[in-house]
Amino acid sequence: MGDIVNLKINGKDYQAPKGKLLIEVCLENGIHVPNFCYYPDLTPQAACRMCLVRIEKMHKLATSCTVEVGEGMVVHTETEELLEARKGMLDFILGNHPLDCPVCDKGGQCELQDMVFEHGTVYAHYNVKKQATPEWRLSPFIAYDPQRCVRCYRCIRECTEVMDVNALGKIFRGTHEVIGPYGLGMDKRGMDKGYSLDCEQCGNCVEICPVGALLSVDSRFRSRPWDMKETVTTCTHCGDGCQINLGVRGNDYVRVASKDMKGINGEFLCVKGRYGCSFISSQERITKPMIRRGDKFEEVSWEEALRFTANKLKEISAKNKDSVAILGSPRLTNESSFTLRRFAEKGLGTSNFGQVADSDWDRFFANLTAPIATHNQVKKAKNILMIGGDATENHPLSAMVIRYAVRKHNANLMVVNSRRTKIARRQAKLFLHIRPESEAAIVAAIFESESELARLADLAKVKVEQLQKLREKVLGSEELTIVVGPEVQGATLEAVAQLAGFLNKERAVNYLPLAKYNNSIGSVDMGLKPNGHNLMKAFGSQIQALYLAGSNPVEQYGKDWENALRKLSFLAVAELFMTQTARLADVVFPVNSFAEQDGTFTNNATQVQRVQRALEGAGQVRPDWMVINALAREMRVDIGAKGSSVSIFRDVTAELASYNGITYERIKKESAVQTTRALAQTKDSSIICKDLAAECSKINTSAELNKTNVAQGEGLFRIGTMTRHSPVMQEAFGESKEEKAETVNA
Amino acid sequence: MAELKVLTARFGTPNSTHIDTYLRDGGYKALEKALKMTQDDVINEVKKSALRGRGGAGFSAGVKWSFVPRQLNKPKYLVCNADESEPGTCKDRPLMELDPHQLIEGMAIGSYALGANLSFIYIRGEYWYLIDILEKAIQQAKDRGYLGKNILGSGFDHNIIVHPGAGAYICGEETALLNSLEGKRGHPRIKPPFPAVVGLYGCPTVVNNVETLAAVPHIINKGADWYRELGTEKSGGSKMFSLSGHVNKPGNYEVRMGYPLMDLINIEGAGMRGGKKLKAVIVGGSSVPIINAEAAAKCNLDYESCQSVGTMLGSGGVIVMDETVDIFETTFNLIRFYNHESCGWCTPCREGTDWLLKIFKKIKAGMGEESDLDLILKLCVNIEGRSHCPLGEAAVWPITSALKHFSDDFKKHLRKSLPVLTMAK
Repeated sequence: MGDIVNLKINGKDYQAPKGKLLIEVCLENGIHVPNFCYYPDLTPQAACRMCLVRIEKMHKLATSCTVEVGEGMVVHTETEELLEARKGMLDFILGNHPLDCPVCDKGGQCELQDMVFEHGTVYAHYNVKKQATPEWRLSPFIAYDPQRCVRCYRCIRECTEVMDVNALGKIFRGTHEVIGPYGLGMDKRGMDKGYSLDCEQCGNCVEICPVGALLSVDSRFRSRPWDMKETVTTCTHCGDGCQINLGVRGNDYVRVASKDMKGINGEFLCVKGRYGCSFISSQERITKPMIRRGDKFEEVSWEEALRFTANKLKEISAKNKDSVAILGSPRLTNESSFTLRRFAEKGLGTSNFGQVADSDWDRFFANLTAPIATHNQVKKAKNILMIGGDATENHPLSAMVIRYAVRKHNANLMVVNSRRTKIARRQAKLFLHIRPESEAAIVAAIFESESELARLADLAKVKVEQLQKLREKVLGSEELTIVVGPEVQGATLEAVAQLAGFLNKERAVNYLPLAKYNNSIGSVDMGLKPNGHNLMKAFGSQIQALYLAGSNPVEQYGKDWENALRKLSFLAVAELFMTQTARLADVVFPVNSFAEQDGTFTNNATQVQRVQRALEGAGQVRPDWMVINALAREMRVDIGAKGSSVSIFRDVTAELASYNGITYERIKKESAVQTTRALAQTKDSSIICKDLAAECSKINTSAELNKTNVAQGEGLFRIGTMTRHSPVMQEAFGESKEEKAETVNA
Repeated sequence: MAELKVLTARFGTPNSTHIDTYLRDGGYKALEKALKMTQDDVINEVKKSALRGRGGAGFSAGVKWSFVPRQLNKPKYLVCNADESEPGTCKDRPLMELDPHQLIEGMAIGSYALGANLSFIYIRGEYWYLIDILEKAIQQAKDRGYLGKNILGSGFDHNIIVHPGAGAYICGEETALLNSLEGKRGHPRIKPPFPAVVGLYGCPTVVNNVETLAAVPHIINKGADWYRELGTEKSGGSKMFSLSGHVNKPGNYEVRMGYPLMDLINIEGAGMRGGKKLKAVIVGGSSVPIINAEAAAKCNLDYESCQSVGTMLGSGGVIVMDETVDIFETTFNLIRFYNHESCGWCTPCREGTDWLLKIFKKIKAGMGEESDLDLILKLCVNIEGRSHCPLGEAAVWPITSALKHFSDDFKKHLRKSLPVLTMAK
């Protein structure tokens, strides 16, 4: 840390590190300085002029958001002069502000309202006509009302600095200045030319807006902030596990926000997290159990559906226990996955259970030689090696923290990827653009001796000098964060997990696996191995019956799965929607979405976070674990069933060493609790090299480099099983009506 | 007193823009001399000459140059501010139009002193016809070895790029100018850091006015003392004034610093037009407080004297108004200008100028009340000293000074009494 300086604020002595912004020193010491344009981690603007303070020996009032504290500084923040100045500024801001608080969604949560109540004058001096500027729908997600805008430019900075998207800028000047997209064709007034914001649609500009100028289209005019019940829960769209504030009015989804959250993501959310959760209130949810009768499904009671399923399973299992398979999903809660495994092991005695996923995280954790980094630790990383994975598109929070590390302290980011991802193009200090599926060669280059470099570089189709540089950096760095993407699998992934051990224990190395789904890691921890694709090959032969929970492999993995599923003599599916997979089932159970149940998810930083019930499930939906419990009861088998998620989780922590000591209370207190992983022995590097050599031999050396850039939205805007049922996502990125009808009714 | 000719000496010369005539008149001798001096000597000479920034702020040019950390391992830049857009000011135009080599020589000397190998002339877009003249002159200088690589065998490389602005008053503010030059929106930057340390592309940069740089060759040629003695102790040299308004002979005049304002009006300007009485003068371009005839009589054209009568020398745009002028109307015109040119960055300037303009419009429409004048003053207090850059103050000073000296002109526009509705008979 730098030097400490002494300064006086309002007559009291304070100490602060030299060069820190005065406003930060004030706020940290509980001295209130009003502000709009100041925002932590964003560059100072000095635009709103609310944070004016009097610093002795300066002839003008100074903006505390730009002044760095110095030795002997004497500051006043509460003098009569300053209160007048603030009143004056508020008069200016309110001048052209429409004061339409009664119809503004921000009313009650608005920083301008708060500020006026605190500092402003009751009497409005503005006796002339206000500017009238029409509202502007910037995108299917974001609407902008220039009149309400206080021009703090938080949105622009968020977009430019935090998101690295650069979609927002300023248009026109003076009082006519508005926030808007860059480079668009405008009509005569520069307004309203349809959707024009070319960005990731993350909506963080909406989140950060102090007033009601930027608003989410999907939740606009739906509820006042105080009129909805907000529940903190974990997002279900990717492995990062952002904490979201799910706003519910009555029993209907209203919005997702992240304001003032203390979760791992702070205020950050992506398009899916913010706008993709409305599927929970979709009218298309299955609400009653259904049994297939011929070509049609018939709604039945839970008793009937359970009895039918229990009988079928008993019947098939009686001949051969292993002929019944249980497949979970990386989307289910830990509690449901755990119950699924218990049901398979204790209830059915089958060895054929697992989950439908294409990743090898179980092998990764079995070989792990260094701890897992939390997202906050990645923010502070000095050297980052990113092998595979497109964080921007598939793990927006991980991408954000990596960008943060590069932006804030110029972290040395090295990217190895077969695609030209955005991070590789924009943030990487070193980018090895490799041949598709040739990660093994690059990993081998670190383990192997230097003489092998030329051959390996050739295999991956990169320049030797680049590979040399990467090797030197990795071998030479004292601190290293290794981010590994989901396409790295098998022996290569094991080698990556062993890398920290190979690099020598003295160094601070940690990992961030980019697991695809919200509970990829948790479900593996619970014992559901990602072996669905192997089991699928036995469908119709060794395996005759399948209980499939929370997966839609037909849509995800295509025809092979459909054909395999058709070979089964019995298929039970627990789902939210009538998916293509569910349509093949003999019995369909309606289950709760993440927003309707309690439980936990384990994110890609192996942190356990809570899923909390925000609203009641419609119809007769039940959580997955409850369905299993009921099924076990119906089959008269004892699986040690527990009647609540909290008691199931107690069983989890008792059984799994890495979850020891984690309780719901503790998660509530700490928001996210990281599991502690047992580290594996470091293998001899010759064994790893041998494994890698085998992987390298699989590389298709005739494959060309994929030179196209990853398009914005390739992953973020992809419509899936759940986001399809979010109206605003569907409107923006969805299939046309006909296409939707095809996938839903096929 | 006769007109002094330093900067304007070659204005009458035929073909004055050509390098041949410039060389014939002793041009580029100063550059030759400067290249033989050390960088510190050049800076000290300029410091000693009491040459002050001619753009308006009046900061010592030599001191500004000395702020540049020359030992820093980064490129340094000199930027010539030719975005002359202060209402009432047109002195830089003839300097570039009639004697471009004088400016180029000054920039070359300045760049040498700063260790800058590349400098820019940021010229206002409306001066498009000057770009051609400047670029021709730059080419001639390159051909003769006064620009380019290894100038006059000294090992010093220097080049000049002419860059037109896109028509924003705010881009005359040095940090907004740098943003604009970088291709960004013309917003003033937060100071500190000052451009001398973090300027163009994050490198040490000095921004000087055209007239400041044009004076440099003369200082090097004839010495700092000679130049300083032309003017006063604290404001050295001569300065150009753009005399406009109700005088018989408006135009650009070069006079020594400290020259009496009334002499400029009566001798150079040949007196008031039609023999009318002087009512008010704006001395330094529209941004400075307006003064009345009484103050004008006591005012000399140097920084200190102007300050003593409650105004500033500014950029030297002297606007003379006779007794027929309605000061409310002229102030209205100015606030319209500042409202239009406010960049929108900070609250007080953006909203304040808009509000002020609306009040002026209201008064103009005959709907003003006494309380509106109080409100104007109150708004001015809220803008002055609280805006992000000096534009806010520039918008306020003409208004507060006009209200102070010429409140009658405002009052006569106010509504006499509330209209009373009466029943029709």
